[in-house]
Amino acid sequence: MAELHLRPSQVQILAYQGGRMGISAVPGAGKTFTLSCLAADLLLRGELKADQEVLIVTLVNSAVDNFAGQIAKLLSNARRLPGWGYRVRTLHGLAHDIVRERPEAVGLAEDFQIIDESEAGRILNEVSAAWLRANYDQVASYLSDDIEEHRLDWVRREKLPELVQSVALATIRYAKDRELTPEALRAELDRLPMPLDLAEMGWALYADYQRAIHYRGAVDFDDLIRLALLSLKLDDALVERLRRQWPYILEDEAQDSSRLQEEILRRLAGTDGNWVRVGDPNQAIYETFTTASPEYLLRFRAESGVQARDLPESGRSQPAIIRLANHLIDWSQGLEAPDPLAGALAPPRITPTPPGDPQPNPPERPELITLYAPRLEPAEEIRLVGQSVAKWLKDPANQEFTLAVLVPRNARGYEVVDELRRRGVEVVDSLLNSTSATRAAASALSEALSWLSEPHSSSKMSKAYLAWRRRLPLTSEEKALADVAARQLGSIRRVEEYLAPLPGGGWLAESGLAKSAPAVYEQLVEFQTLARRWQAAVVLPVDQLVLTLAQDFFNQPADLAVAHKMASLIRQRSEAHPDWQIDTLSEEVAQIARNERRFLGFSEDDSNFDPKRYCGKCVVATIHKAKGLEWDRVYLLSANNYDFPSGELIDQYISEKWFIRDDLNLEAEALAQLKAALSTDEYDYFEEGRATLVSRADYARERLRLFYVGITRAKRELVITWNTGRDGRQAPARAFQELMRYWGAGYGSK
Amino acid sequence: MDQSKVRRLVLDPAEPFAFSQASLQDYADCARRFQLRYVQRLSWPAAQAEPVQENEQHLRRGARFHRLAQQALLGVPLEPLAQIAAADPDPALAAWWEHFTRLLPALEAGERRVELGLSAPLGRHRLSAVYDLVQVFPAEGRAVIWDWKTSLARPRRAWLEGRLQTLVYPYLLVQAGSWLNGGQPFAPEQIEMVYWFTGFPDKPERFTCSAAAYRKAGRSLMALVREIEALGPDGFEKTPEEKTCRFCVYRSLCERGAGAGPLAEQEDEGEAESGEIEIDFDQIGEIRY
Amino acid sequence: MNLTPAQLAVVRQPPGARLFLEGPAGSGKTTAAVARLLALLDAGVPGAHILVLVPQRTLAGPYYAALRSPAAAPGGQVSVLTAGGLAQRMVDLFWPLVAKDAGFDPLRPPAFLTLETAQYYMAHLVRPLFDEGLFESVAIDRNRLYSQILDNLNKAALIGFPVSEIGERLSAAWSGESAQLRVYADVQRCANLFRDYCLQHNLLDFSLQVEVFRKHLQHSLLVSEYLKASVRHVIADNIEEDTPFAHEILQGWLPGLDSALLIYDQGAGYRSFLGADRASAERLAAACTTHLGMAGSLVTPPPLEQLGQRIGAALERPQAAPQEGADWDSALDFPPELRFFPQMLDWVAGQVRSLLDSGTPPGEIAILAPFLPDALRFALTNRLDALGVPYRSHRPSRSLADEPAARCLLTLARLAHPAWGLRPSRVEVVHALFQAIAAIDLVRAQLLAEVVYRPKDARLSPFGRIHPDMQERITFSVGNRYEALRAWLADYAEGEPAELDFFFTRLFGEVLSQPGYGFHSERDAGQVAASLIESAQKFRYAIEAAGGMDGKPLGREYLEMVQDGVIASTYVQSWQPPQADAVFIAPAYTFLLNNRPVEHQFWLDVGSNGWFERLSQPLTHPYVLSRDWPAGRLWTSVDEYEANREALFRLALGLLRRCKGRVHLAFSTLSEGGYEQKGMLLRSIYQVQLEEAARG
Repeated sequence: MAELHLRPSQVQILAYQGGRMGISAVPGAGKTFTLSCLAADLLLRGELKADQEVLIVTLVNSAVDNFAGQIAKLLSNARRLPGWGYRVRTLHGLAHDIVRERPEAVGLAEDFQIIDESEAGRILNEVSAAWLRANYDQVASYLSDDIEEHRLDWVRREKLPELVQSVALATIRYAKDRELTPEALRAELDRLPMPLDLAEMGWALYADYQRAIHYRGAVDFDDLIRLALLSLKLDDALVERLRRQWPYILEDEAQDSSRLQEEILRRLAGTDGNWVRVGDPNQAIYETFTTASPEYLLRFRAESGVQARDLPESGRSQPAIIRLANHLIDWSQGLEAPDPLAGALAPPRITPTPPGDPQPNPPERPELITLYAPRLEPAEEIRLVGQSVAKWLKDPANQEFTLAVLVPRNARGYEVVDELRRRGVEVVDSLLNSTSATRAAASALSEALSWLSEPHSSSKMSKAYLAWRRRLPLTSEEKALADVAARQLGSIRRVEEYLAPLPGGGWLAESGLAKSAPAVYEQLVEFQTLARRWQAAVVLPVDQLVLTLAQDFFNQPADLAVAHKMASLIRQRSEAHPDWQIDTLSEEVAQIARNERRFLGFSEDDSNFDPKRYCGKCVVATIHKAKGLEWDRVYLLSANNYDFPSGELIDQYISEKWFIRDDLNLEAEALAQLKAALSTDEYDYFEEGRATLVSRADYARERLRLFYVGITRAKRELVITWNTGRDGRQAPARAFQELMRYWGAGYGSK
Repeated sequence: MDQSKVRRLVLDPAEPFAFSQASLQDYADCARRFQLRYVQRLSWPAAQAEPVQENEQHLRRGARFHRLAQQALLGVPLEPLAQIAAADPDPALAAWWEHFTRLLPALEAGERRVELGLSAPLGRHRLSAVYDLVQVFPAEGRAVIWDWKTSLARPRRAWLEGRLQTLVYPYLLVQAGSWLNGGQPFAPEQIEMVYWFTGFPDKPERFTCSAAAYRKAGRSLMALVREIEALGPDGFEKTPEEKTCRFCVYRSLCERGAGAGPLAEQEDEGEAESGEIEIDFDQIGEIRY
Repeated sequence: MNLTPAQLAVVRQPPGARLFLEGPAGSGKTTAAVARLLALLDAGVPGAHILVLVPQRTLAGPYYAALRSPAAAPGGQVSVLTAGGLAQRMVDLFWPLVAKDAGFDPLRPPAFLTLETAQYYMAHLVRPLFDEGLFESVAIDRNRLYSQILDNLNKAALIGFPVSEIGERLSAAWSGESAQLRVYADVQRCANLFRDYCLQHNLLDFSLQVEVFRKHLQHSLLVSEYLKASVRHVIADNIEEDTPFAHEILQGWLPGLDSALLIYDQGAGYRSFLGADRASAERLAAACTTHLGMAGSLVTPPPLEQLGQRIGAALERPQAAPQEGADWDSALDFPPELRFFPQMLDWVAGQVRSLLDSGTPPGEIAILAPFLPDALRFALTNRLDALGVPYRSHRPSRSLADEPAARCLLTLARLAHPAWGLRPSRVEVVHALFQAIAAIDLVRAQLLAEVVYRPKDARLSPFGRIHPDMQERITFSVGNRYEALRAWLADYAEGEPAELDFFFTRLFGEVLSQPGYGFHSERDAGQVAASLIESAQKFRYAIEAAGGMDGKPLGREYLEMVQDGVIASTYVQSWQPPQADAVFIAPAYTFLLNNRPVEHQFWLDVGSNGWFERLSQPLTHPYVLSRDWPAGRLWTSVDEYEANREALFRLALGLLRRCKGRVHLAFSTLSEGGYEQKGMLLRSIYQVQLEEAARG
């Protein structure tokens, strides 16, 4: 690795000789690269035995592949079996590995199933609905008095189930994070002098939910982590063995570590073990919906015996952008409690790379930064941005550059996508959802299954045909031909006369296509053969049907892999619901594709989203999904106080429902009741409304960091806009106002 | 191609075939049936005789009787056996049992071999049989073969005489029974075969053997086997006797009718095939590795 | 037969000898035993006095083959049995002697339960208890729950401890989460319930067959006289795969036998999950007069034996004996780097094809995996079909209830019994018609079902009532067949409902197998129908034997149990042709117990941890419930890890000893589910490689 050019801060980290190290990095500092170098270096030092591995833990699947790829590149071809000597895992992947060591110790069968969020959501939905039917009165006391009579029924039917479900989800997450089974939680609640209603409700839902997933012989993602820790707690010999197996633990994105994650790694590392944690507390943006917190990394760095290091240099952004980002840190540091934003961002500040660095910062161009102050209606904002994007992309000077529009929420992203498409802009939206390739493969299968469940429908047949044709990239002529053939298929009134004609007749023969359009005819003959084969397979168990279809649909390994995974998931579904037939199951296939993400490492674009591949196009993404990525030009939308609140009186909060009285955040209140129940401190009592306020503050801090993440995605150009929200009452976000003030005060220029 | 679904059409020249009186009888009745049942091993679960539940009852009653008889002959005390027979939901069984106890004293003599399995080479193949009872009188070098028949009607002697069982049993006893006779093969004329009818205890049918009959049996068995060996895939013809098909499960396959014939008209009692002993090996299921 | 000197030595041992023969797999032990069996017959030993005892049916193959050949001297039939089979046979024969003492009603005959019917009764008894919260904390599917409780009963019987001690023994060894102790208590409760129910109803599951034989029959004078007279010579093969129960029987017989030959395979012992016990097998040696050993393999080339020993060393097995020198590397074939699971399947199919093209007979290839789920079997065989590779698997890729022909019969049964309230959905009716009527296409089946079937009242309406235009679309030839089927069903529904198996029999014989219907030319459909009928019939026998179902129609109970997956979840055993003409696809352990070496082995998904991990049994425990586990000792993850490494070593060595040429390792970076995999087997091979590299 001698030829690598390393910065002094990186050299310091690579000099690591063991023990615990905590590294704070800034956006663009090359965390993955540095950790990969360290992993490769540890391996090349030759101290590891054949059965030992460097364990790398990271946050998302895409990072797993990134790491694996980087390390493989850094290692020479010393080994015959590639990919050995290190193991890269997400926390869930690691938890899975640990539980798999001895599932029965924690009450699981060895082929235990992991239900994904969609199935978990469905179960929770059923459980919540059933609970609500029986216990409506318990929540009725939380309804706002202002609900008009004619809307009450609607709220009760549509809104409350959603809310109950979200309270259930929060409770379950929290309980699992605190390693409490329903039985254990029950015991805690029973110790209270008087029952707490939301906690009781949460418990009831938790117990029902857990029973339902046990019935399926399954665990959910949160169980997996809880049970991994439990396995380690129960079994010292297992810990010993794993310690031997993983003498080094490198942890990336440690700012998003949860208590359990830290606990698991702490046990694996042991008190004098080798554990390197890298993270950027300023980029901790997953706390609201999880139990993660940047506090864990910060506290770790402060522990005695931990070597604290920084990776402050970043060659990503031009100096003016760095100044903006650093100003946010300074500003937050300058605020004082009880201002919720005080200290939400923390040093290290970002430092440009030193001269001679292989990644020099782009040159200083303050004029490429637009902080757009005028008030815009939401639709106007999108129109304006659309116009600007289209214009920018047309400029020949920008052909080599990358561009992204970043939004706080998926829904907003779809609106942007629509606008851009209307303007003829080529849009890349794969980051808005699960990956497009996965989806394409699954939706093709779902089209085919959907037709097979109604084989006499010519329109479904036509769609299935198109899905099959489009499995391969088509030239525009082929596309046109496919469309013609699809139209022909869609026009068939009696499908059986095409697929199973009586001797001497049939639709194809009578259509005259053989003469008038031989190319189309050929298509239809080919499809006829296939369709007959599929129809014959329709009586097979559904997973085997999917596999049969997959053979005809796909030839790309990744697509086939998706189909295999799909087949096994759909099999699980059909076993859990034996009454489901092909019609329901074809719906499921589409459903699975949308949600199955954490374990899917199947698609190239899922694993390595590389913005550089999309020059001349516009990537639309949420800020969350943009983490770890960079573009030359970035639009940051919706910088208002709804998406980025700051604890001011005019703020509205997404978790405070209009139909709930006193602006209560029921999720937060429910959690507060649980916390009170679990606390041993007698002064820790529950007071209604307090948690709602605390949760506002937490949320505001996290959204400030999200704003910071958005800004630091930009390399050269940055545009920030805001809008007035649906009700026209929103103002620019406080942080945005501060930046505009700072910029207007002359900090835009050097 | 899944070879486990491939069915042979002719005897495998590389594999010895285990013939029994039942399979040979099937061949004699209908070559096609032999091919379907023993060469192709085709399960074809149509009814053998109607009404199906009566047919089943009949078969199960027969099996229960055979079990009781075997137990009695092995020395299980008669008292509990009688109680079992009396408690049976099928009243016919108690009657049969009563008939059998009257026969028992006659079976006390000599050495008794119950459910005796014998086998001997037959050309490149093998011939096997399981006898309900063989009564051996060593001093005289004499043997009596007993066979319990549980059919509803008593078959005609001529019909029995033509059955392969009547040919095979004495023949095989000579071939494979010398160990029962102090190392000497039984002389054919010392072998008697008795069909005893549970429903007609006083009218057993007795056949005696002779050296000539024995030689003839050997020749005709060999001829049968050679004939079967020589048949090509299409050589196994359906019987011209369409009446046979009424009691044959393959009738739909051969396009010879839909419904089964009436039980009362079935001459053969359709006893469960007793060849190689197949105990339920698979009590413990496949291991889920 | 050409025998080696060592084999000849076995054959030529004096007739009265009691021999203990041990050696590794492939050293020719069974061949020697078969030769000795034939020699005994030739020497005039009556076949009826010989018993061949094997742990499971597949291992009886060579003996059956020899006895069926004309080479065997004429005479009485040799018995080939398992210990369990022997027990069942004896209980059946001598029932009146012991029924009362064993706690049964002596006036009624014994009803032997199959695995399926035992499972049914367990479900019947345990299901109502779920509402009380039994087994709430165990994540396991219902069928495995039932089968593991049954497994405990079987273990108790085979090993010889009281059923009442199951929970206690399991609890005493438990080192995990304490909630599990409640589970063991639940297990005990269910085991007791089941046992009591069986005793009350004259039902004998496998465990009771064994127990009744062991406790009551064995010592009855009549039975021991009977056995003494009919078992004079014993050949017991693979005793290391047999249970303490079998060993106990042998131990009791040995002193009085005229001759005995016990065969012990060193390094094997794969059936420990089923109660097999190597240690108690080994102890039988002391009761034998002559010990013979066979060394060296007639099968395995030295490099493969060497590789096996090296893997053993990597797994830290003390008994592994690696020596220098052999070039094991040439005997291993690695795939190119493959990322996805289906790519691995493609690679395997392609390699097999090219082996065939270069002249390897298909029977010399085996594709092995730690376990072989239906979908995998299906995906693999599809690929082999596409390449024209002949193959054979020990079972098909669909359970009985999943077979289209069975589903058709089951749907029609629901239609014919509207009173049971098990109304099929329209899709099910479409598929049933699609199967039932010959030459109907799916579209017409759909059209037909749309017009003639209303799921609400589950009735089919006559073809004649359809609009003529639609009749024409569906065609009259289809219409006529449909009409005959409908009329048959309607006719049936008019009368008294028949037992379900009779219903199937008649429906099959009178309609579905007739010309013009789907089963007529489908020979496999006949097989499937036969299996379904047999399953329904055995179910009925078992229920009748226990005194019926108080009011509920039996057929309905059966159909519900099929839907629950309790019944008909087994596989249709198909007719097996000779093995030489097909590639064999099987779970690794099945292959081992088939005991037939091949030239090429493909180790499928060799990166999977399935090769290493014991199948988890949260309700039972093969090691804790073994005879030698000290009471009260905890089972820890150290034990688990040790046991797994030992098992993996035995597995790898066993496979290599059944390989005459080359092992092809098949793996992909990501598993089928998208996980990266680095299972212990692959890891130990990697370690062997690293060590080799380090050595230079």
